Amino acid sequence: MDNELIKGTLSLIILSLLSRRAMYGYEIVATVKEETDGVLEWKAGSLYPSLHKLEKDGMIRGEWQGEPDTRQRKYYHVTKAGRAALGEKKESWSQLTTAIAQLMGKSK
Amino acid sequence: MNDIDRYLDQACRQVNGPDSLRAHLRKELKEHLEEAIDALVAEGMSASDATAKAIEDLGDPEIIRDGMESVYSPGVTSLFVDKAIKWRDRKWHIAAQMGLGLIIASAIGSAMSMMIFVTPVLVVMHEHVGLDVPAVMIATIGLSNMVWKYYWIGLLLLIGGWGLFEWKCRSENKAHIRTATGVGLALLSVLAALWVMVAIGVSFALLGKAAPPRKPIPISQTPVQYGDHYYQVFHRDEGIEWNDAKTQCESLGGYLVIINDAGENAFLTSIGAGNSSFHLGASDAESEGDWRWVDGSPLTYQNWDKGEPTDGRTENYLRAFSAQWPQWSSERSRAKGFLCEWDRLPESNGVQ
Repeated sequence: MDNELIKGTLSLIILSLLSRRAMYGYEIVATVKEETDGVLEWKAGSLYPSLHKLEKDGMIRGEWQGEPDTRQRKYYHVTKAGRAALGEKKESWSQLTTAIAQLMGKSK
Repeated sequence: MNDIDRYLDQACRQVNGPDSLRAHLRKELKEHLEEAIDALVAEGMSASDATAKAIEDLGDPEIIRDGMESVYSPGVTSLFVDKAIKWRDRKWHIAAQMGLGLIIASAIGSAMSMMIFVTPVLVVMHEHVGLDVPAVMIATIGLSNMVWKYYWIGLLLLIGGWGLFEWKCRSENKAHIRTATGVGLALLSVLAALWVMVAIGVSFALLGKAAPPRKPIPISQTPVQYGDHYYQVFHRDEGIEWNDAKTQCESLGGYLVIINDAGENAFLTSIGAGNSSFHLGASDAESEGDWRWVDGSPLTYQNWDKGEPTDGRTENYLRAFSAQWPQWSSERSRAKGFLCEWDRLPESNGVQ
């Protein structure tokens, strides 16, 4: 799938997944790949700037977990503001896909 | 540096913000890569292939850098501030490199000046004028010879080492190591410069105290009798090793001079032993500190100068020095001539 298209929806994907439970970066990538049968597979490097952007905007909050001498993972949680933003983004996404579907239907 | 570190360097360097942010991002990306590698290895992939695949999946490090830049410098003001910080970093980076280069050059320059100008003066004063140069400065004569000997190898190693450092070292550590190296070299340069100044000062002070050169005594071209033995001084402008001098005396039917008493010592003065720098017939080369005449007998009569014989593995040969004679000194193997002794008048010597 076109990476540019995915990039535009990254924040929606991230917030959707994190609204289920806290996840760390690799887990987000692996979950997306598994649950979409590999359709939504992107260069994971672009995930981290998105995570930092969402964290900076207060949508999510990261927290390192694990003992210092074991593997440490940064788990991200959705904040209250993030849940509100997710609702808006879902609404926008729904309108967008409907509109695009209508356009594509007419162009057939 | 392994592939992961190299990738992380490329992804995290120049990300705006404090060091802690870069460290944080690095840790997070490293964690991601390790998770991915573990998963790929569990699927049966080799460690090296898994590493390559995990890095490929994470994507171009440029994307991460650009993405982070858009996160941490979104505003116009921030943009200007970030640009200013980058400009300042670049400027200081160049200045730091130039400073480091200057420090290295001054360190090498100090060492070179020590070797070229100061050490030879010390050698001359010690070996030819015979002054009692402080031991710490005498030590630099050996150091100087060693440095000269290995100078080019050392320079190649320095350049090679620096190249390897630039190639291998992680960028986060480079700045710290460069700073530490610069400070260390600067301190060494200051110490070397101080040493040179002190050495030059001491040299001039000692030269002022140097005794006027004694008037040389004409050297006989034939053996001269003292008691029932015969003696002759052989001068070698080009210099001669102690062992070669010993061999030459033996080839003439004699031996390097053995001094048995003060009278004999005084007689040698009269034939020119104090004119220059001549080998005498004793050494402790075989056993440090155990001085023996060439016939194997110990030194029953001794007339060492103050501070002689010098301890150490290099000054193993008895010498008649113009500035110290009639006292003896221990020196290195090369001198300007030697004194031979015969038990009976030699028929001929063909080595004048």
